[in-house]
Amino acid sequence: MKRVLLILILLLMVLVSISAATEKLIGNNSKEIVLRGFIKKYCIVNVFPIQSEGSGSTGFPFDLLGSDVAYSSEPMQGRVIATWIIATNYPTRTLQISASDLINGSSSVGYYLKFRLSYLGEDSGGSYSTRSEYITVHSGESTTFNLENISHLTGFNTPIISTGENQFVLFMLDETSDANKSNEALVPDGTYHATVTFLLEGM
Amino acid sequence: MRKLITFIFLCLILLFPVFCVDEENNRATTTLDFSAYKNPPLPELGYEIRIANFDDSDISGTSSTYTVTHKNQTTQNALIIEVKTNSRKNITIDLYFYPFVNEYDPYDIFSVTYTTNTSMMNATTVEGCSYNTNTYAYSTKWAFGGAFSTSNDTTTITSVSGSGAHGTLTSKITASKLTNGSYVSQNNIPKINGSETLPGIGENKVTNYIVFNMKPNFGSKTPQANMRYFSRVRLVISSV
Repeated sequence: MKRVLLILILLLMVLVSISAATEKLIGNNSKEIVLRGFIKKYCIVNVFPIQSEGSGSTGFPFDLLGSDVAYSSEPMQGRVIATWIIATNYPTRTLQISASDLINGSSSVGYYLKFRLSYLGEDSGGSYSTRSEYITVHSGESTTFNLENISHLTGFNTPIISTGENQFVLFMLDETSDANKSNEALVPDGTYHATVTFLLEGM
Repeated sequence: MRKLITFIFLCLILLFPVFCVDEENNRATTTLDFSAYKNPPLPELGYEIRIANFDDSDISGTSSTYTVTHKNQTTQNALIIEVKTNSRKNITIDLYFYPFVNEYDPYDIFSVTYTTNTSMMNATTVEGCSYNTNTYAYSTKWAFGGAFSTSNDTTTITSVSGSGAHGTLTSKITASKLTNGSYVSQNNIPKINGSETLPGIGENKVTNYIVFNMKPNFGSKTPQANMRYFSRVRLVISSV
């Protein structure tokens, strides 16, 4: 009896050790690609950064003093720095986007990100059409969007929202940063970095 | 005993999906990291110097004027200097040209005149740079004007004279006109120098560069046959 218990305990410990160690053992010498499938329900959000090439008008890094990133009250202004997609068939879904300021040491630059959201929607007459809108995020904040109000296809058993490709992410400075961008004390020379986090949740 | 073993295995079977399914299907996350800049500092600055070689067989012309023509340079540009920059700030380019010195005889010196002109000194626009030869007249910015030689205000060698193949450097150096030196010696060779400002690349630009194409002229000095002469060009780049 004691031997059996001892063997079982040893087996458990070995299993735990293997589970914990595998990732570290292979982690430094391997790359992975995450393949996702779904059964009935799915929730997908992905963003594709655009690297700036040459003097192109898209991508990053970009010049904070450039006219293409200056603040504008026009809805479609800004520099394209990425594309993104979302897709889910959960009837209730929320999208949370958190964007940090652009940081260079102790200096920070505020900005707006505008996400183009283009999707197939159904009107009251039952006809489908592509609809587009923009959702706006201000850096330094965490903004939650309730996507329930977005029209969706009802011809399916489960309502869906699925954007196509090439949904642009536009960048522009906010009013304050745009006014201060030439001030060396407030916005010193150098390179600035920011991180944007996306969380799509279905219920 | 069997009940205990059965119980443990059941527990393992029940726990297995918990370990395997480690992500909720109703949540998806991703991140975007991006960067921007304002007047990036100079470390990205790069420059390149190319100098063509020439030898006796390249020398042609009259007995009083030897013009170096490189075999492979149909444009007669024996010295090519390229300076590239991706700085947002203006940079200053200081060029120092030294005379040619015999490999074995420090007194066998060739004063050299470098000639350039607007067509030989080009500002090239790349990657959307707004500057071009029409709007930025380098010939007027160049401290020596379109051409410079050892006979202008920054003259450091007024003449090289002597007899025989070696020649002897006479004390014809005008000390008062030396910009940063004194009498000629092996380790203190006078130089001629000039300065140029290359503008920053401005908005939405990637790089800007200037090309100096120089045609050296050795004047009346006759080089020794089968002898190597050396010169040097010093390039100093600084931010404005």
